[in-house]
Amino acid sequence: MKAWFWFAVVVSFAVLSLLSPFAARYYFGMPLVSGSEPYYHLRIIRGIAEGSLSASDTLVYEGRPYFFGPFHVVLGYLWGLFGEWAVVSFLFLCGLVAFVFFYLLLARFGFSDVRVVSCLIVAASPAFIGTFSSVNPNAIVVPLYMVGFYALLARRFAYVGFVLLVLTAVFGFFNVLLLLVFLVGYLSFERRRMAVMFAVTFFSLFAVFAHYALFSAQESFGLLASRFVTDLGGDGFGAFAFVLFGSGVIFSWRNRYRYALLYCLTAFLVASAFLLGSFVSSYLVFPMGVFSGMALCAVFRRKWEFPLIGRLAALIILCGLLFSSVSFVARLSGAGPDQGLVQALSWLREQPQGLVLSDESYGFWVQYFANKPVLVDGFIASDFRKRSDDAHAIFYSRNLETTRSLLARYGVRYVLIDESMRQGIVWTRNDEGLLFLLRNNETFSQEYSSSGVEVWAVRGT
Amino acid sequence: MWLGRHVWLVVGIFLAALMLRVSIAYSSEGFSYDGYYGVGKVLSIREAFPFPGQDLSYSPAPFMPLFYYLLAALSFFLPAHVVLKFVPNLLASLSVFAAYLVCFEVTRDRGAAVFSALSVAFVPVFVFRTVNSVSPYSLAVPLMLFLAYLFLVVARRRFVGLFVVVLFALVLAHPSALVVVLGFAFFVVLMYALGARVSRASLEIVLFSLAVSFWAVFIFFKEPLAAHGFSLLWQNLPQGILAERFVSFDVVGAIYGIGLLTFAAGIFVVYRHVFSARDVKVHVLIALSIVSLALLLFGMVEFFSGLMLLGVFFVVMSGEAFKHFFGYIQRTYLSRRAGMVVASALVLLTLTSVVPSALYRQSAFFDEPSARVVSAFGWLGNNSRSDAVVFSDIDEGFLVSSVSQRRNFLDESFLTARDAESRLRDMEVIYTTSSEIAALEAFEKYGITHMVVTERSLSRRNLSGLRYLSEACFSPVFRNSEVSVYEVACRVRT
Repeated sequence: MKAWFWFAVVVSFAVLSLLSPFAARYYFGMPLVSGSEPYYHLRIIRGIAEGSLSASDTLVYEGRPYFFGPFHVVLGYLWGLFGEWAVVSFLFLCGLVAFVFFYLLLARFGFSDVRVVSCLIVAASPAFIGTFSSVNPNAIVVPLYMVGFYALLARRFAYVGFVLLVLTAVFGFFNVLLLLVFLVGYLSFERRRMAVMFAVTFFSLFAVFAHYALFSAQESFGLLASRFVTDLGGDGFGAFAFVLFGSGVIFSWRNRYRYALLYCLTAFLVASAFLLGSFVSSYLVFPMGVFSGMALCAVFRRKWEFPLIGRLAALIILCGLLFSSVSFVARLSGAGPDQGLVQALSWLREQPQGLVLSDESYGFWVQYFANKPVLVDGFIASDFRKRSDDAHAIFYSRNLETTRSLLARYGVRYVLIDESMRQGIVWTRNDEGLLFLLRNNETFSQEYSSSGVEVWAVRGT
Repeated sequence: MWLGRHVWLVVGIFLAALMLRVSIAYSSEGFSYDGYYGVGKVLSIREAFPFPGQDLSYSPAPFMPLFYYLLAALSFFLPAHVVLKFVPNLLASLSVFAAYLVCFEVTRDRGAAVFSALSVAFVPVFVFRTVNSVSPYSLAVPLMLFLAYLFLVVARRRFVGLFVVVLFALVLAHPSALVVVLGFAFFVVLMYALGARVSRASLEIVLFSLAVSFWAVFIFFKEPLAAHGFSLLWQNLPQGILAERFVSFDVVGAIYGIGLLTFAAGIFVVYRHVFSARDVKVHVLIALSIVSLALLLFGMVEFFSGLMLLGVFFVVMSGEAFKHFFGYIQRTYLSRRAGMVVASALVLLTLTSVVPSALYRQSAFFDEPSARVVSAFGWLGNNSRSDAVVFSDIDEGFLVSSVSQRRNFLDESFLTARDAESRLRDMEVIYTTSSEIAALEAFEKYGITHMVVTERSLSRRNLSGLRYLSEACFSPVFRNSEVSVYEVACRVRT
């Protein structure tokens, strides 16, 4: 009874966490999916659903192949069957499945005493919320891992588990490595061969320091760390979760042989996060949640000299964790594209075809909502650097002739500008570069202006 | 016993310190240039109480609220000059009691504690930075000392609640609370390094203090933290100003700011105790001093703020040195002349701390606008539209936002500024260009409607006047012997 009660509590909390970014965006009348790259995936998914996906991507200057995989195919068929909402519903379901199986796995691995707290920490973590509120392949891979591991350990369904785990390998090379590390670690753990796991752990940590020393030494460690701390503007985890994680590792060290598999996986994921980027947070959030849970349980269970301090410390840590989640959800709910931009792009969709110039972070939105080709978007192609440099030259030059020749070279027909671009993304002053030249009505004419979003047509193209 | 001779002495020192501070503060009508930041904050909170009110800075920045809210709340009952001049000095003078308590707890010597109380009242840099600048340090420094005292006695359970209250107050008063909390953490590390036992109670208190203070910083400075990460320590200052404020540690400056006697005594205590774990309580003060010194040496705190904290902690530690010194004197033939030795120490303290503090108006720290300058900014407030944007020199920016109650073009707050470097560049262009077009372009860029030119801003740049002023575009609307105010009447046509 008690176990079911706590299970219901943690699942309800996870549902709340997973729904909060969508609910907030829905409430503010914004598209449910936030961010730039998810719209690249959504465009492919929509193309598969509507059967209109061409052989190569023509909505970028001079075209390029599509970067797509099984993730797009699955979601494309779901969109085709159930409509646009199927994508968001599927993301939510994937999050829930991953979460529930993580809860069950914790019991399997003997973490029953900390699993409720660990699950609550995971559910409140920005990395967890971010993974399942944005269209990205990890949203499918993570639940596959969770279900696969659980089935593998359940013996009766070991083959199912094995198949699911092998399936994750088709989602990328990183998943192959992760799978190998887990299997090697697990088999060594089963056979009490601790040396193998500690070797993986130390090798991973060595890789982090070697990478830092060789490639990132010019960056301060603080700057490097701030990429993963959401409170410092990064993607991944709240500052308190990091502190709890560190404390959890320290607390658990006295039982290091019991937690060797967890150390091994965590070290590999930490190393991967440093080497490959913050997308690994989607995986790292789970072992981090376990260590953080251990630390938080230690705070709860400690026999404090001053009970008042103990209670206040627990309260502050909980508030700190919640604060990171709430501010991350607020960040997601305020992230682009906003309603004004979507309206402008919908208007642009109805206009004659032509190349659109905007900041590269707007490229996927233009392609998705306006169905127009762009000069630059967020993906790197063979001549991306040249085009990106030319786009910068157009944005910052106050020489009309230079700008006109560059616009003509690429055949730019529309220029899309919004308030965020004016206030920091591209420009900081009202008369900087292209903003100054837009006053020249022989070259530019304003075709659309609403909610701070402007579309300018380039005359003579 | 409680109201013994020493207590009366400490009360006397408190009153003397308060009188000195109040007499300095009331010797001018206004405040120091940076003091107008506090004046603006208190006025805007008072208007919109209990909300923070409108921030008229070019780049509104978050702040720790307790000090400004306290003054704003008092302003409903007390006249403005009492709230802005008397109350901060009253709060700062309370350091005397806090220093006495800390020093007595460490030394168990009432004479040494009185000496510390006397020294803390007149740490020159503390007086200079708080006497007429409506500075949150006026509240933060006594709270820091009081928190250090509570940390020393926290094992007595009845003080735990008070410790929590003071910790929250300090954290809400000023971000420098982090220095104290890091000092406590360093104390634990130092004790481990010396092989001494740290009580569970101390460890719990330290971890709790760390959690509270970092959490508060994350809450109040969330946006600048997200924008600048750890480099928030340097307050997003433009390079030129960064080099001015975060200057490298200089011993002569430190001795002048802290006082020779206090500096020497502090160094002696660190030298005598740092490698020995015999007296645990002194190590709390040593840890606080070492953290302040380290932050200063590594340029992670503004020079004068760091020096002030270092000075205050050194002063409290100096009690321990005087205890040793007088103990030593008692064992020598000078014991018959103990009174003379004490008198000599007092004379030395007076010469190196009290006199420099009293000579604030003659010191390099004195930096206040004259009554004429303040009145010009006041005039502008009454004779311009409420949406006016006013150009002035950078350190006059707070005068625009507090006295004129208008949006400024630039001030010394950079925490959330995105274009501080370009504003600084454009400010110099406006002062030094001979092209009216260049100046007008800069004015148009920031929507500037009025310009205040003071003699001070011109003399800082060795200028006799602005070279491009034409009657047609810059109509003079106010002028006195130190200030001219112009309204910008032209726009650049493109």
